[in-house]
Amino acid sequence: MTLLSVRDLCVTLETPEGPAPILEDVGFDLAAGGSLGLVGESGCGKSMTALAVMGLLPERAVATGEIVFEGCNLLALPEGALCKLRGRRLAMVFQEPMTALNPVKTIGAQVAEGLRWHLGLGRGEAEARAVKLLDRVGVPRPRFAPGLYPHQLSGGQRQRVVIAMALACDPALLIADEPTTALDVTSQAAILDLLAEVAAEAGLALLLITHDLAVVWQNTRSMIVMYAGRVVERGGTHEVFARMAHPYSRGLFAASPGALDAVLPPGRRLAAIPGLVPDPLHRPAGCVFAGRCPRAAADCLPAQPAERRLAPGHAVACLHPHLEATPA
Amino acid sequence: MNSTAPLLQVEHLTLDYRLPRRRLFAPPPHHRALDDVSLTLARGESLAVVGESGSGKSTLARTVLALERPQAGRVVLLGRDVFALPADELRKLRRHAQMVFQDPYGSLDPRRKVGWIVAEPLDALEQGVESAERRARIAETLQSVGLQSGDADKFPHEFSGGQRQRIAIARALITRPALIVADEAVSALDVSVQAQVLNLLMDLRERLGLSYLFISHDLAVVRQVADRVMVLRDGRVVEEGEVEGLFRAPQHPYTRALLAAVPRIGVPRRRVTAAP
Ligand SMILES: Nc1ncnc2c1ncn2[C@@H]1O[C@H](COP(=O)(O)OP(=O)(O)OP(=O)(O)O)[C@@H](O)[C@H]1O
Ligand code: SF4
Ligand SMILES: [Mg+2]
Repeated sequence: MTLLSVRDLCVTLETPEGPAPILEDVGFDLAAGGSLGLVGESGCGKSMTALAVMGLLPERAVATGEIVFEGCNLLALPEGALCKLRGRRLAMVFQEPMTALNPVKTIGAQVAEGLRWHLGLGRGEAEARAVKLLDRVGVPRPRFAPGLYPHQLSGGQRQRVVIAMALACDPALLIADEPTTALDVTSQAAILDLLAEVAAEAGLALLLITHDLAVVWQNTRSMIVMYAGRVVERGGTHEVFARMAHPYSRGLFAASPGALDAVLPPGRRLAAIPGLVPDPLHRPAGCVFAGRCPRAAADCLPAQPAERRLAPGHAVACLHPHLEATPA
Repeated sequence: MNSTAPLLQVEHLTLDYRLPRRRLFAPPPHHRALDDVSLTLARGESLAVVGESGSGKSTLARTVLALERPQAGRVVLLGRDVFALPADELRKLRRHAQMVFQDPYGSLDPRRKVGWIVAEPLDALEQGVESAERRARIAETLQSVGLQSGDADKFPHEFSGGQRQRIAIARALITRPALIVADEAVSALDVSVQAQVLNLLMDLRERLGLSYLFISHDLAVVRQVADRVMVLRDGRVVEEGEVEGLFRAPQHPYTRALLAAVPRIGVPRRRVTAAP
């Protein structure tokens, strides 16, 4: 069953230089209990997509299209109704745990807060539930008393507390925007394990935003690749990795240090993608990747390439996609 | 200055952080962040320091740059013992060793334009750089990290996270240092930008003979940029060696655990034992 369906999502931001199209015709579906990875370069609109779903876009942003969650279009919902969903059915974990934590409140009180606010639990009951949640995410008593403050925890422990807050009211969708980027490799692995476990236990859907292709490979069933505010490739995670049909997907893959399993010989360089993402005010009329694309041809320039299907569930927005398998 | 001497020599560094006093008359407790750490870095060489958060990596980076004072041990940069130098000598020495910080959000002053931010280390060191030359240096440095010279007139909030980290790197490069201490400098970047920046760091190293002390938790990145790797745990060096040997045949169980935690494409996820 489709839990979240985003259609033709466009987000425009008012800037001093005029309206900047941040997202253009973004669309994807996420099934209940499913997992979707969102990858792409810095500034390509991953976080804006997440914020649009959460109803947390900046004030100067205008969103059009549809974001249908549990059957209702969030873009048409008044702020009050959205507020009730947020933190209840829709939860989000950010890259930097301190953006979600209040430094002067105890971790127990912060986890209990959502329970009282959304579920109307009394103080005692909320606190008892909070203790259970903190146990569940690996911040258990007695080592970690609910009376601790965020600054008494490490980065990984704080992110666990944020996950406990996100899970408190039994959400259907958890959006994690670079949840482990600020953490070291062992905490990263442990947090990803925790997310996968709690998602499976509670049957919640996970929208995982990351720039790390290996994290997407290991943690999501389907994925979309975004570039300059658009979806350029989508499909089952393993299918997309096997083909990497869009030249941008392939560039990302080749540039991943983890894709090379050996030391670079002296003088050799990583396969970087030359140039930069065009800024939203100066996007070309044709394919947005054309300026950086090794396969660009004259027909790429007049108009934005439409999405075409390569296989069931696998689509790419490119006129000259790679049809051969991704090199091993 | 002896040109065959190592660029940087760190000898038996021990550093304790004082923790808040628990009882009025008891001595305050402390946390040993570095415990007898030694290293040598030759000119043009790149040494990676890896370890979990809290292992002392950033403390080591800051101590090397004389931003922290150790209880014991020496840091010798370009033949000079940094903790024995008078303040103005130390200030002059600083141009040769610059730091790129981890946090692309916190390390840039939001009220300053990018040009000012990038030129700040230069202005602090060389008063009276002609404004035309200063502008050219800013433009050249911005371009060298893949930004545009016109970006000098923008503010940090107008850039995405990845772009902000390039600004931080430009800021470190502008004094043309011999040593760059990069503390998780590319950790927040997307892979294609990360590859550009890593390539840039490799180019700069070849062109200018730069050395790097590369602090990172990302072992895949370390493998690409380092000649040698040092593994820190709880402030102690648990293993050190040439990069390829260390990756192929890690000796210490802790190094093996770190390597096993790296996510890899094509390799199914292995459960790690959760250690909060
Ligand atoms: N407050 C803002 N004011 C102006 N432009 C903004 C603002 N926030 C984001 N943008 C622009 O919106 C675009 C999309 O940004 P977004 O934060 O969604 O990118 P992202 O894919 O999450 O990048 P990153 O990987 O760096 O987090 C970028 O061009 C960015 O410069
Ligand atoms: S449409 Fe053309 S320019 Fe765009 S990605 Fe495909 S080949 Fe490259
Ligand atoms: Mg983002």
